[in-house]
Amino acid sequence: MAIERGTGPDVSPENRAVIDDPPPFLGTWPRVYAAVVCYLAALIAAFYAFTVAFRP
Amino acid sequence: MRALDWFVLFAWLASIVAYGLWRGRGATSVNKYFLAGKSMPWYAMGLSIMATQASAITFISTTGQSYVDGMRFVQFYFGLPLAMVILCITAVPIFHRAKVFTAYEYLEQRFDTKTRALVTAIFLIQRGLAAGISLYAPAVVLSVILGWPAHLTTLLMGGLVIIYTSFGGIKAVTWADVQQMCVIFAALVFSLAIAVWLMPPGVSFVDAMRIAGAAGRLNPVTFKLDWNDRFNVYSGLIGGMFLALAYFGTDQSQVQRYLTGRSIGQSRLSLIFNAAAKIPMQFFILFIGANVFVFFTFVKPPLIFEPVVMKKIQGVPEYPGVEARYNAAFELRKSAAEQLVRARRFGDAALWKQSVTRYQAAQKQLESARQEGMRLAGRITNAADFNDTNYIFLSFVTHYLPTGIVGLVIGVIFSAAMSSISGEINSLATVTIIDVYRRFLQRDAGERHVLLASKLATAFWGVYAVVFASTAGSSFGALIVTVNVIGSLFYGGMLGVFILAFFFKRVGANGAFFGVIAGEAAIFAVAWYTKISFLWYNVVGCAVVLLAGVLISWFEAPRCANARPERSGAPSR
Repeated sequence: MAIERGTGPDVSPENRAVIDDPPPFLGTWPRVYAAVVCYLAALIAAFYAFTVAFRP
Repeated sequence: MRALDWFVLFAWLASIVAYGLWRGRGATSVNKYFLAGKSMPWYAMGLSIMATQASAITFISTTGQSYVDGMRFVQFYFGLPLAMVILCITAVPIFHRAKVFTAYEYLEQRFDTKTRALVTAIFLIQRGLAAGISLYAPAVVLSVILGWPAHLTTLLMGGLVIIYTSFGGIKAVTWADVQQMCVIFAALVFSLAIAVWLMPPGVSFVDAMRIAGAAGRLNPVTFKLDWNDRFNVYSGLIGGMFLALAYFGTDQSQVQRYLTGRSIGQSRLSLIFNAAAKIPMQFFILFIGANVFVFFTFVKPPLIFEPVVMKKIQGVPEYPGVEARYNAAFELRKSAAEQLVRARRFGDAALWKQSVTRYQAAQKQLESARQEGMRLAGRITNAADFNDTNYIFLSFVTHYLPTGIVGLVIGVIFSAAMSSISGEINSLATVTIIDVYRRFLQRDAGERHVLLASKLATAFWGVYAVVFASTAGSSFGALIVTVNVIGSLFYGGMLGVFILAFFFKRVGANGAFFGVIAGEAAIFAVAWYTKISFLWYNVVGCAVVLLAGVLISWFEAPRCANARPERSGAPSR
């Protein structure tokens, strides 16, 4: 997707076109969101293992 | 504190103000002052969002929370990554495309003036209260360390923040936050390393963790469902998600951060960064608290960590008896902990089990003696629920950290507070100017006039926070919880109205307006009449707003369909 930049006659931020750019990794935003959810699940699992490991 | 600590502290504070002023230069228009000309990169927004959220309260109170209650508070943040994803999909593109300065401006585009005014008022009340508490926390730090009156330290803190926030606007705030977060991360690593290093000879890091575990301090996950329990996986995932949705999606102090992004993608990345970094950071801070707990297993902690109150209770007739019981319990626990370490070394399962039982019994005895001390403290301070949680970490820092590091850690606590307060007063000023002044009072005011009014509004909110913290701050208990409880009283209603705006196309202005009123009434009723954990207030409030909003709009629909056309969504400022 071509990124629009405010290079037209009116470049004030209020009138600049809104840019909806892709993520710099994983290709698409839905993949990034899925990665975040997996990361959360992994964190909870790791914390649970931590809790169990140090439970007396 | 020694001379080197003072030097480090004041050099750090001066550098924050200087850096903020330097980065904030050139704020010559309202857009640049409030939105940094929509030029900020994702990492600056992300760190600024974290800095605004991670106030001094986070360091003072969270470590203390871990000391007394373990690490389960981390569950409070489990819903945050889910909320970030939802906001990336909804709020970020919607607010960017609406080209608004504030989230509440969007509500007028979607509903009407009265809904915008109502939610604006709710924000100003709740964020105004939170700003006062955020400022009170570092004032406690300085008053403890210097022995100065709290109002003097409040004034010093507030004054520094007002200088760079008033002159530089959001750009100064954001870049100062970036600088502060970098040093905060470094100081956290230092604090943990030193806490571990200060353990007595013969007690390894693993030993320390075993001791903390035996005392129930290494408990970041609880799957047991209890509606009255503030922190478990369910309340964290569901209640925490609603709170994070409301905080990051409807609170201008956060929305304004990602509105400064140069694109929707940059704003999304800043939230994704938060989703990834926030939970590990909180875990780390709580882990420091757990290690401070172990440190105080071998070094006798004061009966009461609040030094002024500690001095006062020494004059009470019952004190010698309480102190004797406390000292005996401490020695017993210390000896049990040493036995526990030996049992682990020998790998003797039977001795280990016996040592754990003995240690836990000694811990209970110590807690019981400390409770007696707390009751004495409560009696002489006329505070029924006296709490010294906020002084635990400070006591450790000031008495046991090496020279120079004390100044750095205290400086970090200051900067954490300053980053939160600057964000809060900047957002309060933005809402005051955009949603009140320019909307209702001076609709035709020119750019220079509004810019000057914006700077004055920032200074006003700074002064307000100073006055509020000086007069009302001392009446708050564990600060971290107080801030979140106050937020939860209002966020459910605010979140509900934004969900109506984003997802319920048929809901009209009256449904939204009266829905918010119904939601807030429900939250206050739940808070007043039940003992349900505050994390659920957001869920209840949001659900009532949605239900009331949909029902009212449904009943109104036949009448309104012929009464007026659909709103065009034209900007209102």
